[in-house]
Amino acid sequence: MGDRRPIPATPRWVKALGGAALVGVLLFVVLHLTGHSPGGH
Amino acid sequence: MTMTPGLRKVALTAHVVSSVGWLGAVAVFLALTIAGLTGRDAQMVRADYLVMESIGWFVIVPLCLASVLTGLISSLGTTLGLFRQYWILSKILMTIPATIVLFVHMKPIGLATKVAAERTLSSTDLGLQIQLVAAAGAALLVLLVATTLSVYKPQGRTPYGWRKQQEQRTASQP
Repeated sequence: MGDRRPIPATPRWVKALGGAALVGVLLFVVLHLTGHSPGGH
Repeated sequence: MTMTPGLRKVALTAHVVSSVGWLGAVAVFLALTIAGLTGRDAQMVRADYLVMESIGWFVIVPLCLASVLTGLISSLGTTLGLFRQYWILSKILMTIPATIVLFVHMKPIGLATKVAAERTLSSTDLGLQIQLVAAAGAALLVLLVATTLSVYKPQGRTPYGWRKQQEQRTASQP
């Protein structure tokens, strides 16, 4: 029987970076939906 | 497929050079967009926007593609892989969308250059000018984070990387 260790938890820095990326993506989408899209002038 | 140590160094050197070059080129581009937005001399402002499309297509885009390509080669050619370490996965998830966004933004960059070639920029172009500053600033931020990840290489295996490590350990046991 091999010792099956559980998968380690996601590091905190990954969660923080993921959260920041999500905010960035939302900002990008909102800006483009409000007419600030590339070439939309 | 694992590369030889010599080939690995060549790929890594190409990746570092293209990535740092990309970062530097975007920093220059940001400086031009800020100078274009805040400049008072109309001729200088036009000159700022006139060079942007050339810098985009002949410097930023090639360095971006070279950085992504050499990054993929460096990861796939070593035991690091693409999806085993969070810091590598994070870089991929940042740089590939950044590449797509760069290509999308080449359109307004081309538009700004076209406007500058035809006439003096006016208040009607303010939205475009602000957009270019914001896009360049966001790109620089993403590249600074990617560079920081490359230098610090923070610990953490993805569930896939962890499983692969366990499989290798099991296989190496007698």
